[in-house]
Amino acid sequence: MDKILRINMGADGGPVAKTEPIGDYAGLGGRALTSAMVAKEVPPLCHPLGEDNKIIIAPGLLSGSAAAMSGRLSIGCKSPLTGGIKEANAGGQPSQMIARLGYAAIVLEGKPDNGNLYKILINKDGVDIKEDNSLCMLGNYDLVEKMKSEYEGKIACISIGQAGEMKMASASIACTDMEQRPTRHAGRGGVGAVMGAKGVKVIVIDDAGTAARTPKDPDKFKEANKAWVAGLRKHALTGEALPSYGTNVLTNVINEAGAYPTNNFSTGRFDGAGNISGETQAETENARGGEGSATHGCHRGCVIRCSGTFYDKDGNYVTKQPEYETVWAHGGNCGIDDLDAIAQIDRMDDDFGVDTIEMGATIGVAMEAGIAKFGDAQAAMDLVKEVGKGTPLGRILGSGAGNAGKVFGVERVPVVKNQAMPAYDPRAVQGIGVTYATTTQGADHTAGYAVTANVLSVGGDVDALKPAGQMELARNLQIATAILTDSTGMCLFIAFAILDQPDTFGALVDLINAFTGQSLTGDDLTAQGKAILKCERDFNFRAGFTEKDDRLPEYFKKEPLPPHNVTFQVSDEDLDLVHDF
Amino acid sequence: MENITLSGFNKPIGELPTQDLSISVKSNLVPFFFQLLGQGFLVNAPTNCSIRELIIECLGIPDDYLEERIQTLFLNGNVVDDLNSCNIKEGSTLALSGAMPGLAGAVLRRGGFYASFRRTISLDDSQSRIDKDKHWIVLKLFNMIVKELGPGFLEKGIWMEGEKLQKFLTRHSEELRMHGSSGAMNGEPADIHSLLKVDWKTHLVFLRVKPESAA
Repeated sequence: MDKILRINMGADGGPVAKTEPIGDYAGLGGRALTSAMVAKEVPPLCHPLGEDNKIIIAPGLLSGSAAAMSGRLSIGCKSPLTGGIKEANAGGQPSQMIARLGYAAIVLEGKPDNGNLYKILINKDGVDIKEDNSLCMLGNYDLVEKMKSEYEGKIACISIGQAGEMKMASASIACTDMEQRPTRHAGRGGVGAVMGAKGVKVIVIDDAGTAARTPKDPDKFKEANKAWVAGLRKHALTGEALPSYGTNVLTNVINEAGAYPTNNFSTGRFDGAGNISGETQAETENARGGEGSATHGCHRGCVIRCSGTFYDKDGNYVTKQPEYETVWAHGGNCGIDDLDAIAQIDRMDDDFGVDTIEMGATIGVAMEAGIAKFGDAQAAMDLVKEVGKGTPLGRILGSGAGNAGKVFGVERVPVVKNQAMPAYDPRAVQGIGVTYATTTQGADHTAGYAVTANVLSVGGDVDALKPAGQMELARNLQIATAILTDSTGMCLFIAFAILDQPDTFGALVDLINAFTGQSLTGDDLTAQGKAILKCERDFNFRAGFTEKDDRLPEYFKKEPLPPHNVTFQVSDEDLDLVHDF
Repeated sequence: MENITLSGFNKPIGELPTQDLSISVKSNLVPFFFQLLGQGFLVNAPTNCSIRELIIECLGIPDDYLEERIQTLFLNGNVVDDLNSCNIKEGSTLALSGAMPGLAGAVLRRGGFYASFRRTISLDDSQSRIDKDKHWIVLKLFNMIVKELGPGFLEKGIWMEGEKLQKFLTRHSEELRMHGSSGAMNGEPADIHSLLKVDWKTHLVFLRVKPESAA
């Protein structure tokens, strides 16, 4: 991964591709690379859908190697949803394949002025860019089928559906999984709209004829990878709970904690949670059977296998196993307790190419506005169909919860920096609220996900019982996440195994060092994580953000959340401490 | 029987009529009944005991299992950190879970490093008072805990609100008709079809579920 592929979509005479050495960006991968490039190369005040914005697609630092769990792909740009810097990431096959082709990043620049759509093939022989307006308004599923019929071999696709073409602010970018289905999405922040603005419908990746990336110290790497895999497999969470139930294992527990946002964040408990829990989902999938039903990986090299495949009662494929956030967004948040309906909506989200969290939150806001009733699954499905068709109502819904809330005149709109909150109510779990408020990305549960911050001793010893200590913890989580998972290509779910098992954490550090030939310490990783956050925050300030954007909506401080009847109690002064480093 | 009044009932639990239901099913159908254990079933628990004592002595769960596997506990929706100091009152709901993923999972884990992140929903030990000799509580089992302990609880038998059971049987009548082979009501043999027609709603039901090989 020592080169960058730049494709100028707005060049005179049509798109032009050129490859250049990685240069100043050497040593960076994933979010570290996308954010560094956006901060340096994108004018912060540019229009997100304009020619000056860029889409940067970067595999993690370890992607393309034999390192287990290293297949996450980062996609960065200025977000049309938040107006700030954005990094959204996804599983699936493309990250490993782009890395094997040697690219540290693929950058889409400029903007065609002819309204045409393009498909781009990238393989070991180079890049081929073709105009293809026959792809116009295809859903991701039909699009991928068409690409499979046109290109031989086990290709992977990075694509947009109708929502991206219509430049909706909730549009995602789809990545194909091991079965060549467009089920893995860089969902957040409207990255699909920016790809749509570039006129790129699909990037086809073919890594035939390439080999896995080789580590600097193969023997050490092999040994570390073995210990790494063994550590993941022996842990109760990564070795048992996640493979058995997937991420939806959280439903019952978050609901029991009274932190499960229900009916557009109006209460923290959902009566129908048991009907859509991970346990029920797994029982349903196991009973219906089919290949990869309840336990399945989303990319080559995954050993946790927290995903699955959802078949209907007659055994027909519907979608991949919907994740916790999706089941919540289209389930409890809309008062819906029907797993089959949720799976159908997930399929539509993937096909149209929209973020499931943003879409579910928006439907919840629409329900609060009286557009449909809470609990009406058919109405929810019909609303999502409007998005796919691009009707006036659909375009409003596809523009995200914040924008829809303004149109519909709703006060209870769960967004930060205009991005919808995920499946944890910040009044019940206030530390997550701090992350929602202060992350550079807009409300994002994954921004402070690396619970290993204390293992790394990021920030030194912290007194967690003092407000300043909690702010420090929230900051440290964001720093650790930025570097440990978002930049290495590692899946988020490695967090528990390396938190609980020092030898597994050691194996990860050994893995990184054996691969890169470096001798990184916890301090080095911390410094890199801080650098990422600083450059992202600097971009946001230059784009017009202030500390006042690091806040939750007012109603979280005023409306008590049943059943615990708690409000968000963290002061603005304390929130401002998070970035005081 | 104590004076607890369950949702859907106007009478205290001790005044409700009871039914005894046994069902034998193919072993692959047993996990379907885990939903009932996740929604909560009734346990007649002794007082003067901590959560630890309740789990080990009343429920018969081994100490090492509690330490190693039950990583997240809720008492009335509040996260439990200290198993020794929290006592259970009449009508309490206790939920047992394994370790959970993500920051939320780390935050909710008992005694975890990030416990301060959910201080407003952590159990305040001083709120627990002991006022009865024996009482009914609701027990919920989630994820790996229900997978590992669920079959034993079901085979031994659990007390259920009839309404919950009725909803469950209605929802899964198709599977039960296909895979349930035999049953008994109050000790009298009955086929699955007739058991599905019974109105359980107004009763407290003692439910036993056995895999066919163990029947």
